Amino acid sequence: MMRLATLAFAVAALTATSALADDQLKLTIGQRGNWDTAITQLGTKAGIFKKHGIELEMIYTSGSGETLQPIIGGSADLGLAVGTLGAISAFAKGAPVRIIGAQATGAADYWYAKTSSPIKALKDTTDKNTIAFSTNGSSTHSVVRAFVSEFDVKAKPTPTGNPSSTLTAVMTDQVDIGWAAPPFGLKEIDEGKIRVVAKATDATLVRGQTIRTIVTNADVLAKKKDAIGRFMKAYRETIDYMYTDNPQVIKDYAEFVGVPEPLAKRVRDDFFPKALVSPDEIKGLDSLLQEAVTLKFIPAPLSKEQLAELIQIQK
Amino acid sequence: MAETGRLRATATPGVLGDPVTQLRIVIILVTLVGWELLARSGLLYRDVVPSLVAIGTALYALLANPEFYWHLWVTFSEIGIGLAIGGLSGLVVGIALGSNRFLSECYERFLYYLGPTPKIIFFPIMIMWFGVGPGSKVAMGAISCFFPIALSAAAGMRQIDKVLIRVGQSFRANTWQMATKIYLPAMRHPIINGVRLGLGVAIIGTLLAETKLSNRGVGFLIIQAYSLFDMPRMYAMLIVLFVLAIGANALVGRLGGLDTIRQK
Repeated sequence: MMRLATLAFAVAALTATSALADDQLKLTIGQRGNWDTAITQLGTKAGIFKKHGIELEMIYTSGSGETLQPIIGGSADLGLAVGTLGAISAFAKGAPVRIIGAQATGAADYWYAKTSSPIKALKDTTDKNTIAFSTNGSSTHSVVRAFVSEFDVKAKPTPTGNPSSTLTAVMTDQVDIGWAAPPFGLKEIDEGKIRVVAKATDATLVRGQTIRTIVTNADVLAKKKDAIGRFMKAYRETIDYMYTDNPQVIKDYAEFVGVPEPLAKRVRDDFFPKALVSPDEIKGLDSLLQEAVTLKFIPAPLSKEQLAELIQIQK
Repeated sequence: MAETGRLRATATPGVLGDPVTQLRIVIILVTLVGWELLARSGLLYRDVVPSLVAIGTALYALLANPEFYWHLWVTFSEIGIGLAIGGLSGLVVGIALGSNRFLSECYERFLYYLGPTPKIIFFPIMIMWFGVGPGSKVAMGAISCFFPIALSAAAGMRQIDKVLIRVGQSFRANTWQMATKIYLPAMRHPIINGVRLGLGVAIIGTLLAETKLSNRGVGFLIIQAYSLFDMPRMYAMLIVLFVLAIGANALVGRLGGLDTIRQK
């Protein structure tokens, strides 16, 4: 009898432990090091996700395509910093992708020229100049297209890859205007090697557009709805924490990226207003859909029903 | 005889080894001096071609960081497991193709076509099959080294002296005995050459996968250094990888007895 009671207690204890165990979510995250992609890292460090019963495994990728692919295949639960156009395109082609939140509305990216260059602003460019973006259809491509249409920029748009290869191209005079996302390039600005000629937010179109999203797989959303809901609560709480005066935030971010603390603080204060990282709404859908059609991501704009299926913001 | 004697005299190892070693040292020194001159000349963007002092400092910092060894261990585990899986599969397939003309005519051509294909195109499939963790990196290593090893084993199988095979058959050796006593010993050198080629592409495949999607491993560290434009640190990691790859290659060659071929 005693043995049976002990066994029953052991089973009950084991069940209770399982019930209390954190839900594990596997994330793929693009653009490691940016302030907006460090939210899960900083929230984990501060114990916010743990508080909501969520344990995160974060896997970093080299771009939006690599972030989205494991989500479609079901080998990761959530993808962060997936280009909105890429998510729309994948959905239109039948991939089980669901957007559960905005990741970046507007962009902190900036465009720069060599200090020795005569170009001090976008209006100084001529048709003999070149202006960089990362790859065709990327968010930086959208920004450059917005520059061209809004400011009548004459420079020829040129794909140059990531900020590192772009900086090399600019410093070796292969491209006149490069792009970067902070904290990349801030050291070079301080050292007087380059100067900012435009910010993405200069373009009205970009300011009101959600350029990157948080996505999941339709099947994962159905099976882990509760855990994903708690993830989003913790995500929002982390954003609030990141914009407090708590010095630990800047300290953790500086350590994570490997930059000095004053530079880390500058990244947040000068480039990332809180509204930029708000996950609550996908903004500028009309212009995004129009752009997706223009860039041949989709043959025609998505219907209201399709949009309702694709975008399921988790409150 | 006089010629032979002169050659032997020339090849006698001195304090700095034989002439080949001396020439290799000269090549390395010329490369290093050339690099430093280029870095100081200002002809190329200095941050892309940093000075040897900056690279040396970064290398020291890297080697003094215990975390680096964990990442190194992760990468070498992935490469090792990938090489074992891809190598064994390649060996089995190579022996099957080399011993059977029908199979060879049916399949070997496909291996030749697929062999040079950049294996990174299979990475999305590997992610779906083996997940985003180390499994997909191991799979990339395995698929990368499979082709050179399979093709080398098939070629090696066909080069086995027919007399050896007849000896085995006359002793009525079974399939296992034929494989372990006749085929594999006779194919040792082409297989080891295949493994050496396979090791190189397994390293490339695994590192490339780590740069694409990872949170651990040397490939992950390299792409992080590159994305922060920390070029000295990136070059320091490449140097470590280069040295370890040379060591692994030499070890495979020695274990396989390639040094004995040269002596013959």
